[in-house]
Amino acid sequence: MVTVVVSDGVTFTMEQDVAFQCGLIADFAGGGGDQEEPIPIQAVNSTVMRKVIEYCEHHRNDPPQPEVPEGTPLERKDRRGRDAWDKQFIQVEQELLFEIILAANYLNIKPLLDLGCSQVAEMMKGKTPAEIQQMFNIVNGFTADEEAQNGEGEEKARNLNS
Amino acid sequence: MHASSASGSLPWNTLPAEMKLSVVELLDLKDVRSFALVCKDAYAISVPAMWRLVDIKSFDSLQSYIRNVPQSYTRNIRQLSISTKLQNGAPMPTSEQARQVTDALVELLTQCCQVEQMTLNLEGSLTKTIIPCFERFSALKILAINHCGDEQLSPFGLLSPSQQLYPL
Repeated sequence: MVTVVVSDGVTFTMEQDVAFQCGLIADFAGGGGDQEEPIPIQAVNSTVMRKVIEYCEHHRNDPPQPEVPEGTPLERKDRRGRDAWDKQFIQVEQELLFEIILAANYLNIKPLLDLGCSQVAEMMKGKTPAEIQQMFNIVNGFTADEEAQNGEGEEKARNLNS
Repeated sequence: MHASSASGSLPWNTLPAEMKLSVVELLDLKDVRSFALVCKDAYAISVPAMWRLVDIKSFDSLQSYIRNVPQSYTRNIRQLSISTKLQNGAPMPTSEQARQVTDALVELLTQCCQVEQMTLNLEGSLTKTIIPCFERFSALKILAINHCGDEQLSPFGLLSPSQQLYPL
């Protein structure tokens, strides 16, 4: 068993095959054997950790992901391993989604990181720049002049690539 | 979907750049273009994805591309298609045309260090100065060279400086 303690002081105990899907915990626990001290995970809170563990428990029996070579067509990369359960799992409020992505990156859980990123991409599909700004609460830093240029640039790009 | 402005945090901007890049890589070109117009930061992140595939349809477009597009963008090209078709203007003498077209191609191609697939649709001959460009394409997997001109009027080959035609 592996025990971790997260930023808000909550401890979680899980079996090794669940915990070791987090590259960080696997590295930390190293040579095996039961840890006496809980592993501190300061960058993640208990709400997010609960989701992470839910994901790791569901995927504990997955075969190891083959390395995707550089330059693999992206559509293929996107589809791998995104089953119905994953889709349901990642349907969360935007703030939690971003926290899950950050946690997956910090804990080094590549499939969860990919799932989170593809969900963000999914949310952006078919949206206009203004809709994306609003959705992600991004302040538009372009000046009015640059906005006009953007319009022209778009036109040029379309001509070049059409 | 509502943004979490209450806490003052900006969800998108909490992501490190490499994760923003991973998201952009998953978008279709159409969605990347939308995203690029969201803010300057988004534009910078979108450049590699927007320049992955470039199709230049005429010699005029080629010249305009070279004048206007920064080298740092061109470096991202993986799939490149160039036609050297002359759109308008009087036909040039073969040797002059070959020199101008070759110079433009050399200028662009020396910047394309990551290109994997390339199609050249050439209207006439090039000069031999094009040859060294090809030494740089370490990632090139597929190369197609087509002749889109009139074989009688503008035969296809490489011109030496003394303007003799060497068939390809």
